[in-house]
Order: sequence, then structure tokens, then C-alpha cells
Amino acid sequence: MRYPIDFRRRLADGAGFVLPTAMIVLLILTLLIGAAITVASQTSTSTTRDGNTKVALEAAEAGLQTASYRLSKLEPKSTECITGSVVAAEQHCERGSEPLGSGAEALGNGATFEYWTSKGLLTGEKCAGETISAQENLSQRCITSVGKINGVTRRVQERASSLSSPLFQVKGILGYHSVLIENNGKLEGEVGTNETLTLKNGVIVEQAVLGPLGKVEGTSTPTKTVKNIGPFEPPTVPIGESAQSALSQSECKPPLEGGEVGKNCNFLITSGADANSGVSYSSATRSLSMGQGASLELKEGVYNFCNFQVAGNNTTLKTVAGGKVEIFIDSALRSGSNCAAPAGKLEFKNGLELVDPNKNALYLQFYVYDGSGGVIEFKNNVSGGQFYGTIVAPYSKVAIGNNAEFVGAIQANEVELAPNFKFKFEKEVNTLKTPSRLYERKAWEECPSTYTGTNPSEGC
Amino acid sequence: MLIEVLVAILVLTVGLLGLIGAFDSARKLNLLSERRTSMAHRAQLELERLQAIPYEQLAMKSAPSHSTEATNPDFYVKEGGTEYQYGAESSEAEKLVEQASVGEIAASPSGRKCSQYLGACEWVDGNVTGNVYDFVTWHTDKLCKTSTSYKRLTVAVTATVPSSNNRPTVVRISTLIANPKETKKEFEAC
Repeated sequence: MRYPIDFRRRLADGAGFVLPTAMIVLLILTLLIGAAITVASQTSTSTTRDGNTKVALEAAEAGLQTASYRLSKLEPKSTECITGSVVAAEQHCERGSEPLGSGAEALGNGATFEYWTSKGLLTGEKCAGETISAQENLSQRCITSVGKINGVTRRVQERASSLSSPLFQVKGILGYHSVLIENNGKLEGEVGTNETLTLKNGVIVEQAVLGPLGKVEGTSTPTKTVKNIGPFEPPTVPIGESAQSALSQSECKPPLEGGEVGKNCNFLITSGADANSGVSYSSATRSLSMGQGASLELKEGVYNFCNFQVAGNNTTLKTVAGGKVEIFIDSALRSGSNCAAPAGKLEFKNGLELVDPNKNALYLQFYVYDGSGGVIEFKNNVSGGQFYGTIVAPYSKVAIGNNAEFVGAIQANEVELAPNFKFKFEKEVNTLKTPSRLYERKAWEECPSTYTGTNPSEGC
Repeated sequence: MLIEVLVAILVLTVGLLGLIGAFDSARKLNLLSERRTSMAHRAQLELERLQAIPYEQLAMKSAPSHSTEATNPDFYVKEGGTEYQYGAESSEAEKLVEQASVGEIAASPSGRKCSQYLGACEWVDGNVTGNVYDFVTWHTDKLCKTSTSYKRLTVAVTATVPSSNNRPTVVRISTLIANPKETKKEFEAC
């Protein structure tokens, strides 16, 4: 091995060697110091990021919770979504191909979340790693949420679903507070209550369905009694958009399926009513009354009245063949009803003749929003033997009597049935559902934090 | 020659001292990171434990007390113990959910080991120890502006360290929990 002459000389005389060696050692030490500091710094950065990822995940989770809460509260239709804090119509759920989200909402401590809700999912669509299979009475939506803090992003997705339930909670007549059946009533179907069922002399009831505090009083006994059901909870009256007028004939549609309620077709009354017939309707107050000898034909559609009173003798109310009619009685107490007090009255009294070519309870449905209008009365009417229809008035007292046989279903706070009342439950009313309301998580997955394109639900 | 050796010794001494100092700093930084990692894991674990509690029972058993010590999470409990400032850097506060009869969340971790108790507790993870503080507050939804729309869970985790060590800042994680049974109420605007 050949060393440079200068180096051999230095080795030989021992001069000028120590300091270069020390410098080399110092260089190595410096590198070690640098490495140690770099490792420590990277560990610290990694730790900070680790903490942020946890915060971001919880922020994303908060977005899912918020979206579910608002879905349950706002009850959007299957064609609608939620953007920001409002229900958005179908055409406003996307801008081009870009779904519109809630906008960033602060969670505190620098964390934010944003979520996107889908419209109702259809068979074959995907969410949270699963392929959707649409089911009857089941509303399914996909929610994607992104949580962010200090540049760290987490993205999660869930499938939330809401199951519709039958509108009528018993197969017959339900009075949440009470049901009173006067002498010789005959009921084919169930009669239910949370509290008191009173059966006077000679009453025949196929089956009584009682809540935990329910009891039967009076002198007759149900053929069969089922106890400790419920307690029955009054449903929300599905008033939907029924207070809003249809602007044109084309917008006046038959009642929607699945518990959703469209705009009203009240203008059909104005055009169809004979001014001399005793029918009086004010579009300003949405009050309809029928006097002596009045005759009115209700065409297919949704109607929303602040009051609907039939008081004159020899009146006739007709429905058309194949035309389903939903009548909502609104309330001055409901925000957005545009009803002025007194409102909420529904009275059919004194010789009203119901002409119903359909002979099906689904074709004439009455919904009363609250009890502000007082007692709902169906009394002293005639309808060729049988009256087919349904009444949903969970906050009202309903008094029915001296009519022909009632075929359908009744749901009210209090029900009073006059002597000799006859009732028959119609099974078809079981197809009526409450709107999907309570969204529950059915599937969850975390998606890659970044996505290509503009659709935040892509890549999950 | 002697001078050269002395200078070399001086250089090496300075270098070694620097090395020792740097390694000590790195050790402290690593220790701090280890503690912060453990704290973050504990915070997430605690939040997941809380999320498993039924919604109705997500409430404070009693009102926590305000602390005057800024490093104590109770510092952000407002005087009177009815509100909690959920953001350390903002003054926004929410009303604490306090339901003595059904609440599961204790106000103080003292004497409560996390392995035995749910809610505020004292935690141990290897050589790292500390306290977990839980706060449940009512969150107002920006849509349905009722003051009890849904609940915010905030977990604050502290680590116990010798006075000579750097004290890690409190790890704080929040999330929201909606009532799984909450639907549109009759006669309610939203």
C-alpha cells in the first residue's frame, strides 16, 4: 500500500495527525447528532399527525351523526337530499356531476366536517362497500362525511335506512285515549286503546287490543282481548305539501304512494262547484261548506282545507270512479298552514249522502292535523248502505253515529260511536304507511381520505 | 504537538457535549411523542367507550368543578359547573348534560381506574399514566335550533409527568352523537 509522502511523514514524526483525526470524529458526531434530531423530529411530526387523524375521524363521524339527525328531522322525499341544513329538491342535489354537500361545519378545536346525503338508493347502487337491494317500505340513503383538521382528512361512509310502518296501528278502530261504543254496536275487526274501552249493552267486538294501562269497562265483553300492547303512539299526520296549491292541472297529481303527500288540488272545487248548489269555497281561507241541497263532486287528488263543514240537509258528496281522494284538515296552529283561527273543523252532519262508486276505503281518506277544530262529527248521514273511508285524527275526538255501516279504519284520540253503529275493517288500508322517518345506521366503512374527481362518495 | 493534542481534546469535548445534549433532547422529544401517542390512543379509546353507552345515559352524574389551573381540563368548566367551553381557543361554551339518576359520566377521575370504571378515570399505559376527563354537553343543531338537539362528547386526556419533564399538552377530541330515536316532533317547525 502506498501512502502519500506527506501522510507517511506525519505518521513518522507524529505531528499534525491528532487534530485531523479529531475533526473526523467531530464530523461523525455531528452526523450522529443530526440523525438523532431528525429521527426525534420525525417521530414528533408523526405523533402530531396521529393525533390529528383521530380527531379527523371523530369529526367525520360527527358529520354522519348530524346528517342522520337531519334526515330524520327533515323527512326528505326519496327524490330529495339534504344540502346545508335544508331539504333540496332533486335538481338541486347536484351541480353538474358534482353532488352538493352540507358545506363545512365547525366542530371546535379547529376540526370541521362536511357531509353529502344521497337521494333514496335504488337496487344496484353501491354504498359503504355493499350493493343495494331495494326493499318495500325501506328507504335507504348513503351518507358520506369528511372530517378535517390541520390538513389531515378522513372520509367515512354509511348506509342509513328507515323503515315505514303501517299507518293504522290496529286493524280497526284505535282511540289513543278512549273508545266508547254505545248500545248494540257491532264491530268486525280490532278496537284498541291505551286507556279505557267502554262497551255498552249488546256490543259485539271481535277483538280488543289494550295498552299496558288499558282496561275494558261497561256491560259487554270483547270476544277476545289482547293486553299489554304498545302503548300506542300517535303518528305524525303526514300533511306534507298539501297546504300548497297546485299551480296547474298538470301539477295536480293523484295521492303519492309511500306516505308522501303532494300539493293540493283545491282549485278543482272552484271550477267544479255549482254556485247555486249551496257549495261555498273560499280559496283565500281554504274553507269549504255545503248548505241545504248542496252537491259536490271531488275529483282525484289531494285536498287541504282549513275547515270542511257539511251542515245542510239533503247534501251530496260524490267521488269519481277510480279517483283516490285525500282530504287534509289543516290547523291554524301549524306553521306554514296559512289557516286563520277558527280552523280545523271537519263536520258531516244531517243527511249528507256519500256517493262512492269505488266501494273501497282507500279512495276516501280524511286526515285531521290536530284537535284545534273541536269534535269531528260524522252523524245522521246516508250513503246507500255503506260508507267506505279512513279517518286519521290522532289529536281529536271523533264522534260517529246513525250512518250506514262504516267500512275502513279509524284512528283518533277519542272515539265515540253511537248506538247501533256497525263497522268493518278493510284489509286494504294496511297498504297505507307512515312516511319513512327514523334513519338508522346499517353499514359503515372508512374510505381512502382522498378521491379523484368531484364526487366525494367515489372510491369507497 | 502538545498544543495539537489539547486542541483536539477540546474539539472532541465540545463535540461529545453537543452529542450528549442532542441525544438528551431527542430522548425527551421521543418521550414526549410517546406520551402524546399514548394520550391520543387513550382519548380515542375513551370516545369509543362512550359511544357504546345508550344515548339516554350519556350524561354527567354530577356537575364538574371549575379549576383555576390552566393545564387542568376542568379549567374550561365555567364557574358554577353548568357549562363547558369545548374549544380551547374559542370562548364558545355549551350546557353540560347533567342527569344524576341515569348519567354514566363521572365528573372527576380521582380514584377511578379506567380498567374498572367507565367515564372519567385514571389511565395507565406501560410507563405512561394520566387522567381522562369526559364532558357531555348539549349541542344546538344549526337547523333545529332547540338547545337539546344532540350531544357533544369531549374527551380530554392528560399525562402525569415529573416536574423536570416537558408536560404534554392536553389531548382533546370531540364528536357529536344524535339521539337514535329522535324524529320530527309533531307541531315542530323543523
